[in-house]
Amino acid sequence: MEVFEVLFFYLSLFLYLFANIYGFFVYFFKKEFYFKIIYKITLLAFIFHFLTIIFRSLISKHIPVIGNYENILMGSFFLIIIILLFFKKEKLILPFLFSLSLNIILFGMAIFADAEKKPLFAALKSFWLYIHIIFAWLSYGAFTVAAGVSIAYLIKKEKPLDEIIFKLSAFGLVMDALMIIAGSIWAKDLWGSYWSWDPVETWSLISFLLYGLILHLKITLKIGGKTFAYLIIFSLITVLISFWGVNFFMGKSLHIFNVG
Amino acid sequence: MKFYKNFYSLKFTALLIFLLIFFLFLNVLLPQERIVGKEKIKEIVKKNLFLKFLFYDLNLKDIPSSPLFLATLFLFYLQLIVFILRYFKLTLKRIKIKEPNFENWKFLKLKADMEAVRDFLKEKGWKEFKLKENNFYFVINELSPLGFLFFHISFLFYFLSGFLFYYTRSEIEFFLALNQTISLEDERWVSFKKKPRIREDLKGIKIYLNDLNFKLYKDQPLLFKTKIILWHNNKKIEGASEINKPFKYRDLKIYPIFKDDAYLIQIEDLKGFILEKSIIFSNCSRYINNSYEILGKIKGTIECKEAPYLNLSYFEKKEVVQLKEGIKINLGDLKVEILKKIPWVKFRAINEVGSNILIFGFILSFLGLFFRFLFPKMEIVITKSLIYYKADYFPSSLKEKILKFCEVEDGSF
Repeated sequence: MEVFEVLFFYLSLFLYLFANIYGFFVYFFKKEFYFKIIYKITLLAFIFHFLTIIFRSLISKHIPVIGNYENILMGSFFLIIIILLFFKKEKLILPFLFSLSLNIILFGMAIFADAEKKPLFAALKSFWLYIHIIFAWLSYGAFTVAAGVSIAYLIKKEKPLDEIIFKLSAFGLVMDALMIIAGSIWAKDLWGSYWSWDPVETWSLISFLLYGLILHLKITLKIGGKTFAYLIIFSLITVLISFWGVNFFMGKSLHIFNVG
Repeated sequence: MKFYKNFYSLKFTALLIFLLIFFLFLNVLLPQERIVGKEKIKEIVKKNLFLKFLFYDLNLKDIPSSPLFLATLFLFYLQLIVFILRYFKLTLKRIKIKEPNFENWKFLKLKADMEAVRDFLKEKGWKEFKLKENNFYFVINELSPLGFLFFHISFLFYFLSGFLFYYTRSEIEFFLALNQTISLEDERWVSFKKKPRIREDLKGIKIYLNDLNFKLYKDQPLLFKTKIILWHNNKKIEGASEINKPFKYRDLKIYPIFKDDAYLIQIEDLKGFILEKSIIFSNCSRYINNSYEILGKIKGTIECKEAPYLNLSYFEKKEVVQLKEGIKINLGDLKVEILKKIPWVKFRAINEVGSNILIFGFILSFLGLFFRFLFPKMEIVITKSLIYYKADYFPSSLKEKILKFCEVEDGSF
């Protein structure tokens, strides 16, 4: 079964890459453009991505949620769901391509991540784990697509893109709030405190406050589209640090479940 | 007045949020005393004068309790209260449906019949109001501005619950070997991490460890489930305490946090008369004291090498014995025998009030953000030739359909 997991993983990575490179090629060289074809190739890659997750789950006997490899697999899965659902309605090729690029960077990181299969530890056997991470992935996915659209906005400066960035960031913020709330309730059952000022907790609060502040500035002080786009791209750094960085740079976190 | 205006300004709010982010950033980046310990902080500042300035002069060695962070938080809450009081009236005005003033409104040229647009909006659940000159005002999600108010009010609930946690929380840790009963007031087994300021609910509680299921994968527990019995005021409560599912009794929650082995030792005199049976906890996990006194005469300390060893001293006699089942030694006129290995569990018991208030705050926060951002208030005014509109954003499907009624030159909505 492991062979299938690896096979589907590389198939989906190849197809994401192909859709992205082909998309940029026809866009920049002004060839006749077929959004539908790029979209369908991405959809096919998504199916293989889904199969990778199925096989991983069958092998490890749990939903892939442990360690960097599994988190990337699932995080990227939710990101691509947001991309596919969002751009099915909004047929905006450049934002779609930049968002897909960000997904490829994330998904590609799985190659370098530790893919050791681990059983589900007692600490992770909780209903709140799934609630917490589903909202985390939805939130981080929305923030990533918002950053992708922001890059496209800085190139094209089209007014509707500004509004799309706002919509995605607002959705991400609501999901982020739910992620923090669910995490806090889970932490109470697991460690006995709703909040421990743990580096991962603190960093997720930094992300939340930062996106909240940016949306606040957008609504009340009506900051311009360009500034807004730059801020959204910059804020993605905090999301990336929440996702990997804190565990990577700071050794002492209650959120490190996969080491002793 | 000028000070009040500046204090209440949105720019000052942004500055305060920015400052809070900055302090949180420092909380992650700077080594914190509660995580690395006092000694480590002392060691760090010896090498770095700048860190000495940050840790001791600015008191940033524990950001959540540092005066600078707390002062920023205080200003944030003060501004929040002023904001809520002012925004409360404003929100009530905003949710009232009234004739629009067209401030910050945009418009599109209408090509279709206005009746078609009206029918479409009514079908989608928009509320319609007739204006002067046969114009029509449409609104949907008019209660959405309440979302912001809810979100801001939720922070007051966080403050209140935090205050209650701080003043009512008691946190103790205790060790319990299998089939052992202890009182939560017995200082031999119990250590107070945080004493309650108001409540004393733990008095008179006794706990018995009835069963233990424990499985490890490398260093992580795969299964850690205990069955305990609690007695309080002549009441007997049986239940389980496992990771993610603490044992609950009133406001008291008991969490299993560590497991190791203890050894039951028996002391006999030379005639075979049993003088004492005592449980010795292996302390290689550094969680418990490593010195014992048995019968008031035998002193024991634990030494951790590749396995735990017990150093015994009895008057002039000294013996070192490995903590292992079946080991027997003579110690002067006494015989010491290690009878069996017994697993023990370290538990944490937390007793606090304020969870319900916090959960209510969570619900308010979520509802506030959900309705404010995902169901924004949208307004449209239809005249014979123009459509005026105002919202943070319009859903794409709605936009697409409305644009079909309009003459759109630049594609913007």
